[in-house]
Amino acid sequence: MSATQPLIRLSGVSKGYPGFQLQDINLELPPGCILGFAGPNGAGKTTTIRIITNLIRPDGGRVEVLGRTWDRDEVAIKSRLGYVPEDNQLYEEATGYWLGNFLGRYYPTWDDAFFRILLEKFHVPGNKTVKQLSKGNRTKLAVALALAHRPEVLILDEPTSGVDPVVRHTLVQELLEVIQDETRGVFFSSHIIEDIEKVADRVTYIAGGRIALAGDKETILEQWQELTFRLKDADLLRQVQRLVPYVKESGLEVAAVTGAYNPRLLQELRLLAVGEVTRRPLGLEEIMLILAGNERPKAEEA
Amino acid sequence: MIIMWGLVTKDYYLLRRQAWWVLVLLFFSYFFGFRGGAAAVLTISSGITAYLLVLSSLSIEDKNNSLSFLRLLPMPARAIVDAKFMQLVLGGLLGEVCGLVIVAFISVTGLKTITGPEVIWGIISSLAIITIVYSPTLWLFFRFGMQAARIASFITWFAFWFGIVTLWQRFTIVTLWQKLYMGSMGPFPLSLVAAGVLLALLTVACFVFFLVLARRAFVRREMR
Repeated sequence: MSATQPLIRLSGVSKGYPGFQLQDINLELPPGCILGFAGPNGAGKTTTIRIITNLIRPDGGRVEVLGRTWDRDEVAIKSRLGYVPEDNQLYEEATGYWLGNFLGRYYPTWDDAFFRILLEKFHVPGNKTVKQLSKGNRTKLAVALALAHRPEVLILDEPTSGVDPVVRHTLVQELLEVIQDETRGVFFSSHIIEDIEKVADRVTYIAGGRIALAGDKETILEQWQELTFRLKDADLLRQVQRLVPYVKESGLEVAAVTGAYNPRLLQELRLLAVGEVTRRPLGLEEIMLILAGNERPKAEEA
Repeated sequence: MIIMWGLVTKDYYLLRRQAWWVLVLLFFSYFFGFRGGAAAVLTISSGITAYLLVLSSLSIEDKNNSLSFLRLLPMPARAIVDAKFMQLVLGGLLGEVCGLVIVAFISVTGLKTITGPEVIWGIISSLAIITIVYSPTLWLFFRFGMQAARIASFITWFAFWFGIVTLWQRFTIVTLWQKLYMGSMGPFPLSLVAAGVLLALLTVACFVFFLVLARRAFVRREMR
């Protein structure tokens, strides 16, 4: 695999279930990158991850992991992949140390010393069974197990969901350390946008089985802006709606949100406004709320 | 082979707290030995051990939702299936060893006369029974999941261990069986050897058939 080749590449992937359709999923995880994969519950995040990890097969499209396909290189891919599932799938009857020993037999690159360091760092008692561990410690154990063979691709499905802020912080910091090696990549799925905003270099937002937003995080944050101003005349609202997709208005006061901000747009809006047009960059959570339809512009509702 | 052995030892480790149950049930099989003889002891002990080991390990996989976890380990998916079938054989053999200890105890203490052909025939027939009864259960587990396997094992357990055995005893053929067991037709009569070979072939065919079906089913199965 060349250094510039994506670690994960999905091209036109689709999968259908009764009442749910994952459609035309295209995404790439380049080396040295943390990709934040966000979306509301039931949007298709876990289905996409299971397609990437070959736990389910797509109806259409192509999946490549580390430049290989699952039908040809199943074992080779799995030995270089780390995965932390949404739900705990570790044997409740096993201790952390035993699980480390068990996995160590299968991964050629397993580093037991590193595994024990991680357990110590995460304050996870390795001699206790999984059943005896708290939810936070189970998650940390799963992360330690996924990291100990130093995977080239780490896939995390909602690892921070249901754990306290201290554990979340520890996990997020660990992800940042992993990615210091520029050849590795992290695919980080979460509905906690704050975590994605902290660590991700790229963001993909999925809603209703389709990718609604994808790109470099900094670019997204630069392009999504809220512009507030007072209209010269109520009749000019239609012109605003033509320029900006999301518009809220109350009398002549307008709050418009664009996902493609540029200085020219600002100039055009100034021509329709009385006084100054105020610009405010949006956070990822606000952007995703708008995309999820929770913040429908009043003009559209009318 | 090393991969499979790792998976089998994993199951034994996870089942370590259920081991005493096997001992309790084997103790009960000792009492059956007075009435039924060596073949009954061997069939019951291997049946119980295989049932508890295989079904309990499947239950553990189901409870922990760990088939997905195993599927992501760097090994072919079919190795997971192979390991469970291997465990069935090992469970049966372990039960045979326990059964032989009980048979030896019965024989040494003079509680019942045990003959060589009875022991040999008991080993062959008990291994055949557990393979023919539990191989489809394993296939059902890998094809449809734990619920189907549980229902199937429940039905086969009762159908075989109670229903068929009870019906069987009503047939006159049981007299021939007793003659074979007691060695009154000679230690290794041709009919016994022929029946043993035929049963062994049938057992191997059943084992391989359901192993192939289970492999195909599991490799194709989606882990939702």
